[in-house]
Amino acid sequence: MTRAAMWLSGVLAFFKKDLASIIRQPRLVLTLVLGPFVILALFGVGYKQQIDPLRAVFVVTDDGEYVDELEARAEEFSEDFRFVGRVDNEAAARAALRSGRADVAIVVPPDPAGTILEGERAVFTVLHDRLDPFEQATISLLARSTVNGLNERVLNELVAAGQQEADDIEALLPATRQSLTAMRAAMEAGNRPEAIRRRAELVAAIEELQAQTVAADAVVDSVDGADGEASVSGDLATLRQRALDLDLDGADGSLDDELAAIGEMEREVAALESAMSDFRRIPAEVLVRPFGADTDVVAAVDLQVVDFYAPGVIALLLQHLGIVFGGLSLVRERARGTTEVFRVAPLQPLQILLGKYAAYLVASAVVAAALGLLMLYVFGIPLVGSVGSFIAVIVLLSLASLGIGFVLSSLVQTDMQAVNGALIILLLGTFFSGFFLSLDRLTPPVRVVSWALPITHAIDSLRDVMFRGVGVDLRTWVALGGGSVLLFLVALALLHRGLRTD
Amino acid sequence: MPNPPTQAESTASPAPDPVIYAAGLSRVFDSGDGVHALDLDIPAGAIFGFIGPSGSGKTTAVRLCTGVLDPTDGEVRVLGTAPTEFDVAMRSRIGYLPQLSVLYEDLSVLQNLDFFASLYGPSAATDTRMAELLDFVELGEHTSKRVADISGGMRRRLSLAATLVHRPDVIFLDEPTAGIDPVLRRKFWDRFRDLSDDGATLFVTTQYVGEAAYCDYVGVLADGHLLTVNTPDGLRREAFGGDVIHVDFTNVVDERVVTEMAREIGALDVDILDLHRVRLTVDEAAVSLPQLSGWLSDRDVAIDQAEEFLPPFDDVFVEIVNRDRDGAPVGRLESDRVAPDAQLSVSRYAR
Repeated sequence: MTRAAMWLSGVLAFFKKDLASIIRQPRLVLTLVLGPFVILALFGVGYKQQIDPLRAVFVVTDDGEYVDELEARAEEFSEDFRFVGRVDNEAAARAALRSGRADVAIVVPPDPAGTILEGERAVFTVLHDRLDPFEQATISLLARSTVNGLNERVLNELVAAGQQEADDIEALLPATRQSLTAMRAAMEAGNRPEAIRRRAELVAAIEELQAQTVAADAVVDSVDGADGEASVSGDLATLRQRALDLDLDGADGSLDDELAAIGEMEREVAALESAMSDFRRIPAEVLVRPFGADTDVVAAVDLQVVDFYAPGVIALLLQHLGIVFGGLSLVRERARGTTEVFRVAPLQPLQILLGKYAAYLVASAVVAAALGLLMLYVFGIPLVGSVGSFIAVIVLLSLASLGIGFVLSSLVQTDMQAVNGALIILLLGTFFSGFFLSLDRLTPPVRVVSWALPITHAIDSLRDVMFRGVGVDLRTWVALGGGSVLLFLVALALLHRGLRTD
Repeated sequence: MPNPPTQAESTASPAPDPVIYAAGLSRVFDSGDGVHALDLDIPAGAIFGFIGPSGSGKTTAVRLCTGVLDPTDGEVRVLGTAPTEFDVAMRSRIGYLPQLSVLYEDLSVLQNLDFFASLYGPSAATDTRMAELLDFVELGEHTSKRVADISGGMRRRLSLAATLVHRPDVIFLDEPTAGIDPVLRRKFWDRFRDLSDDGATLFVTTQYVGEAAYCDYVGVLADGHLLTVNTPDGLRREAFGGDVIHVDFTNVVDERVVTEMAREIGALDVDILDLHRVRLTVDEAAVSLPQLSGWLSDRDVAIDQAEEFLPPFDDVFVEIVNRDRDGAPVGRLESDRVAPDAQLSVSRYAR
């Protein structure tokens, strides 16, 4: 018998024994495969893309007539709130929140019109009783969104009114232009009295226009991008003043100067007609919100929420599996007393570790394969990249996780400590791996913790492979591969120390 | 067979090529417990029984001999090599059965045996060898049963098979018969004798003092100290100072007759155990019994019977331990012989 055969026999002894030990526990294997599958299925079935409207009570501290209208149109403002009642003080609102009768209480500002007319914002305050920071952020976002909707509605109505006025103005502008034309003809004919009479008509027409520009003024300004100097009312005032300033009786200026001035006024009226036309043509919604935003994903596939979390679930399970397998393995050998036999037998720590690695790697691979197939063919989760890349990430993650497990197992005294250690690493993985919280939300020092975890690299790489169709990048190879080798060496050194003579 | 490897002898001059040799071997733990200054000299092919109560240091001694523990003082050699320096070839010659079961409960009988056999290479893990071993421990019908589902005795037998599967030359068995029934214990010792006959050297610890009878040599351990090493018969003689003869008188014992009788046959000690029975300690029962018979016949003293009594090893063990605790030297066979003309002290109802 060669030494190599004897050495290999020792490795195979652990491989067969540990694998058989897992196979002898079909419930364990079933749980490992079906557990995550059922969780993901429940999540997929139960997850709601849309949040149910929040039940809202209005807190109205005065008896303004606008409140009835507000209530009547409350649901028009936002689909996110559903009006369920009205109270007249904040204490009653808080009681409603505590009792669960309402999700939020919207405190309506007293006399909002008066506040706005005084140049201040009328602020709606939204009270709620939610503790979850994410829910708090959501309510804050919904409140802002609703107020934006309200503001938009007000602006829409204002613009619509302005457009109606612009219609009236546009109807009056031809009379203005005709008066100017008639005035120019009279001047060119030398009929200055006629010109003076036409100017009086022109001034009257301009004053009538000025009376129509209350609502349209600001809106047209915004369309033209003009400042206050060039407002509609300002333009009309300038036009009126120019008409009055014309030297129609020939006392001071030449005829050419007056005709040039009339020509300038004609161009201004034409510009005003054009602005009015543009203003009426553009829909009010566009005027109120001239810019929109749209996003598109450049990834190879469109993802559902369940799809997105699937790689994380696979990775999290495999990491936990590897750590538990490795973590319990050596500590249980010690508790059983078999390490004492190993010390006496012709064994090297390397044989023990290689055999155990191989057994648990096979077990992890079987679980990963079963889970992967279920996800691909039952949930329809896409795998755009190659199966080889997928397997590579799974193997690397399993090796690194086993390494953590074996190191953990060498450091703890009892299997309870090993299980606790595995749970802590599971929690670390859940919070810091990018599983459900983007790493961008973490500060750079904490991201070091994230990238120290194998699962972070695995989730990142699995998402790339499955959804972007790319291969395993160099960083993943180095981090998971290098980490696996390092952990193996540390575990080997610790096992060597553990099997030394006491 | 070499002379009994008594403690004194082994310290003075180790027998040639002892399989297990220890001189001043000590391992003291932080608590102060451990073993102190063990001297051993165990020849090849012997069954060496290490007897002592729980906590006396038997397991520590085994661990020192197998290299699981380092000695704090003294030396130990197995097959001529210190256990801490065993190489692969040397380890392949050692078999070790720990005190507690190391079997994997979720695996079958055969899977367990295959695992432990594979640790020693493909030649140990052949189907033929495993079948042979399973038959040897009478588990051939239970190979597919999970260890969790078999009895404690079957587990112990399987553990023994796992220890023997690679045909070791030296076998350390730490309380192999603990917790199993007397019938099975007897079978175990029959197996040990078979192994010994095949040339293996066995180092067996036990709490069952009676098992000393199955050993070639017995070491008595108490509180970490080796009190004595002897053959089972030698141990018995050591404990009581010689062979023991029980005489059952037909009539009530007459103390003067007893004293005269004891002096006449050269008894070393005499105890009147009850109204009719007397215990005589003599140098050699085979010599003294005919003398006794003749003397009684000459004096016309009626007896029911007179025969050599083999004290149970429990009594032997208790006697040795008590003597050690009382400060009396163990092994007084040679040292406190009573002269034929000395005044015998007769103790009544000494039992």
